[in-house]
Amino acid sequence: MAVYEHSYSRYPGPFTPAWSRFLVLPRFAFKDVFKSRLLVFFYALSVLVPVFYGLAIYALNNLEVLDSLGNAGDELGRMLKVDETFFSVFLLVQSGFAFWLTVFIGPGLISRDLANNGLPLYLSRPISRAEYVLGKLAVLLLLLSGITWVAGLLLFLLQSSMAGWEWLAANLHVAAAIVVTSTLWILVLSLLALALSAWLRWKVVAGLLFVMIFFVGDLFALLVNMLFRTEWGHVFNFDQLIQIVAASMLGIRPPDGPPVWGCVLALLLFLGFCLLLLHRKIRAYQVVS
Amino acid sequence: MSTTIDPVAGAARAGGDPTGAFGIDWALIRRQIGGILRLEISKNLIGGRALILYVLAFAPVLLVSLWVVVPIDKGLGGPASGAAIFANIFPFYVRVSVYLSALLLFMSLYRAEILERSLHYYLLTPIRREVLTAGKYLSALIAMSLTFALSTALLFVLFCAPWGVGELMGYLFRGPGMGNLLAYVGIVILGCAGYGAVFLLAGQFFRNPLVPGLVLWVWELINFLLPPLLKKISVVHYLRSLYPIPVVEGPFAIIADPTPAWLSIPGLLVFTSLVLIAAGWRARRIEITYGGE
Repeated sequence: MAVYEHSYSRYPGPFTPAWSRFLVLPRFAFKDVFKSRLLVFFYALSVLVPVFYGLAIYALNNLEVLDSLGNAGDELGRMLKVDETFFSVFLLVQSGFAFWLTVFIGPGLISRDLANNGLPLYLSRPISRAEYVLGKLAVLLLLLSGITWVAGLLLFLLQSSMAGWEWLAANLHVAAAIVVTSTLWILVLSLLALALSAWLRWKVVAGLLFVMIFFVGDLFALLVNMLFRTEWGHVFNFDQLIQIVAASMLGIRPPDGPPVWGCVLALLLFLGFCLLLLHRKIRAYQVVS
Repeated sequence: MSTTIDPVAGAARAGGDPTGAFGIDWALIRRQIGGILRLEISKNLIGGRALILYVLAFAPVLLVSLWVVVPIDKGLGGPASGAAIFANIFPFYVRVSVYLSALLLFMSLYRAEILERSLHYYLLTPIRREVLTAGKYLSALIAMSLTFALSTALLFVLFCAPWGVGELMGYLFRGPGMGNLLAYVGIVILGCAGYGAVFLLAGQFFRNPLVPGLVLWVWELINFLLPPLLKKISVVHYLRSLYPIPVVEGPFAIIADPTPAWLSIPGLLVFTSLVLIAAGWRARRIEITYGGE
């Protein structure tokens, strides 16, 4: 039938609630992400770590398992304890996985839309600029949450269920540290990746710059500290800032660096800067070239 | 009746043989490379790519300028102690700023043109692919060498500056300062040439050179931990043997005999030439499918 012979009628189906429209973006993005077998493998690897941690928690809370291991079990029981350090190491490992996942997923999220002049197609639909960014952000937030704070809280609950309510009551600060520091780290990674993705239309360069900001930031921090004999240089070293916040919340010895309020302020300023970059670049119009 | 126009034969008949050594028209190649340089140097020195290059090159310069201005105790050693601090920082400058700038700049020479859908303009011109590759490489090398030679010289001078102009001039012109400065500038240019050639080739082979670039970076960063034989498969090893002020690489470093300068410099140049020949050979086989990008 010719196109002009079509007759059109109003869509009779249910409408998506306005608040959840942004979730359309991650739904399609996940399909793209999990097309890559390498990424699926890497994500599975990052899920394996919490599984090992879960097994360790089970073994450490189960005398029979430790007894069955003989002397090795005794050694393990003495060396490993499910405490603040245990969870801080878990957070450190999972932060590394979150970083590399963002390197491979984040830089392509917005750049492809901009490079192919696709932004008007999104924004001509009932999705605002903020919802567009939120939708793209949700891709990373959901993926990274699964391997960081969600996995951490599950481990925390596993330990609580095995060690009892007293342990839970005495270690609530651990749960808070897991959620707060993971969320901060995820936001830093995601917003930076999206900002770079929006400003550099080439995914590879955006990915490279993302890695550079962290590695060069570490070295730049060392240079500042060495030249000016200060610890404030670490404001350029985001993973160090997160570690300081985590250590202070967990109540363990923090690494060298500025005080906690300085770390939080530096991180918030950085997040604000990334949002500003996104605000400048994601426009409701685009000069199609 | 068909007519075949053969400019070479025509020129030969007219008594002006355009070909030179090896049967190559060098004057034409010079003109073509000149044309490419005019187009490419401005691309490499102005624009988004250049901004990253400038940040990587001059961020340490800004920081050290601040250090010079801020009134904190800088020790009593004079410019020589400043040069020693510079000598310790310089390897990181090469491994991070120079390496990453080369990765970004040289890798983009072909890839960026493919993404901007403009490479076919070059490929449609009557110019040999090897000449195009050489022209592009030279343009990026000139842009990067100019930038990093300037930043290295500034860094060196700034590190020696806090003890006053008189001390600085004395160290530079009556001491070993100027020789050291020129040696460091030379090392940086050699680094740009070596890394640049590698990444030009990588940009032609890999659609996403991020992973090989990072793997190579780690290799260069951990060079001091590698056994002597493996150390030699890296650019930084040859550059290190040229440092005018020796650097201690830490307690975990595995000591290897430095390659003498008379071997390091030609070695790096030969290596760069070989990689460039490979890049030129690869360029002959480039086919563009913009839709696949």
